[in-house]
Amino acid sequence: MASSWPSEVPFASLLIYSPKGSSEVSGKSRQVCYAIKRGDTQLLAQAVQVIAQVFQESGFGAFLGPDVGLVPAPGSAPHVPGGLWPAELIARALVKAKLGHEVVPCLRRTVAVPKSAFAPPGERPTIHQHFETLEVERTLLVPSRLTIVDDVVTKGRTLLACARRLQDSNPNADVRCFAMVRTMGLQPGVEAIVSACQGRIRCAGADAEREP
Amino acid sequence: MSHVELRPEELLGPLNEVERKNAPPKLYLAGNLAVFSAGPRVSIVGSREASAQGKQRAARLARALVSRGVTVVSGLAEGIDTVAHVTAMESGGRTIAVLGTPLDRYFPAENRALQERIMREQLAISQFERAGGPKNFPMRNRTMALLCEATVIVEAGEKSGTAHQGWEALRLGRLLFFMESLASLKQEWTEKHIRYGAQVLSDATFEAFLDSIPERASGEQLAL
Repeated sequence: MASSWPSEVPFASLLIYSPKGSSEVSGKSRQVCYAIKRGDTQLLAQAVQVIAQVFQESGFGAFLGPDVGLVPAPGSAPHVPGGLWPAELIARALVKAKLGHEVVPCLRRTVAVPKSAFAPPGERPTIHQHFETLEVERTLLVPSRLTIVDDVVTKGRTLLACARRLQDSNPNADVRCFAMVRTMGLQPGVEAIVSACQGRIRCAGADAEREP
Repeated sequence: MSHVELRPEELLGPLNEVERKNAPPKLYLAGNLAVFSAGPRVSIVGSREASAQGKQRAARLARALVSRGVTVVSGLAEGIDTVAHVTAMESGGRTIAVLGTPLDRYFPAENRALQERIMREQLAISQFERAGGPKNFPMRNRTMALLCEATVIVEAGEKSGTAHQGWEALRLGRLLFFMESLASLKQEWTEKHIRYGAQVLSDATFEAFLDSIPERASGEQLAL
């Protein structure tokens, strides 16, 4: 990969979920996460409303706003024509709430990569594998601020690979990432579901590290 | 036989635009309505002319799902579907039959007693209003994909109705699995589904599969 590509990318997120926690809130966080992944329109509307409420204090202005192009992150497989694309639904809901200028669906997956949930630890797709299976469709008049939008981020490998692809084809753009939900896999559970944050996703060899 | 009429939204909560596209306008339900929302729903489907090994795999899967509190959904056809329903009930679990006929028709006729038992003790769902009305198995399979969190195809050929269910599951963004024994045949239709995100269910991925089954709650129930 070219050395000029970013080794880290700023990211922000609104919600957290616990994959294994046994508390009531942890259980509810999994339901919320699944509802976002399957495009529950009511929950999405609620989440966008919360983003607007915490916009100032959470520093989301660096990621979202009326001058930002929102680029939906592709799923782990090529998009089924006419099928659900949760990231695109989120981006559209943000634009509708004037938290984005337009949806720029220019990233696409060309070949499926293994879903991390079903791949043994050593065989989860690396940033490079993600990168090699992503493609950018060139579009005219792309905004200078671009935020890649995804439904759920775990370590951030997909988002980092997307950022690299996007930066590669738009070298002058300010590229950032926003995930509606972030996974809290290392904690025994979560005590709240709304937990706005901003931080960074860094390259760590073939893997990615998310902070926070 | 009494039945209840509901719109899909009344069972599942508000539908998104992708779900609405192929959702039937009405659903007719007979049996214990509480079965529908008692736990996550996973469908086990496959060929009517199933092999002995295929039936064993379907039974093992149904038992494992019941042990995790999952409701087994199938289409009441001969073969894999019948094994899935019967095993779920024999294991003390819940099952839902999604029919390709109206509730007051019995197809295949051999499964009349099974259908009547499911309508008495479990839950049967049809999108077709009354006897003499249409029977349509591809439409039924698409509806089954809508009603379930995940679909597992045990054995099937390209012309099987389960292929409709597989594609609809992918379109809806639901989890779709092929049993390894089916995927290893590398048929054109399974390969195409895998290219678009279907997963292979093997011994190595079985625990991850069980852990991945989500529980659905609608945005109405999930105030942030």
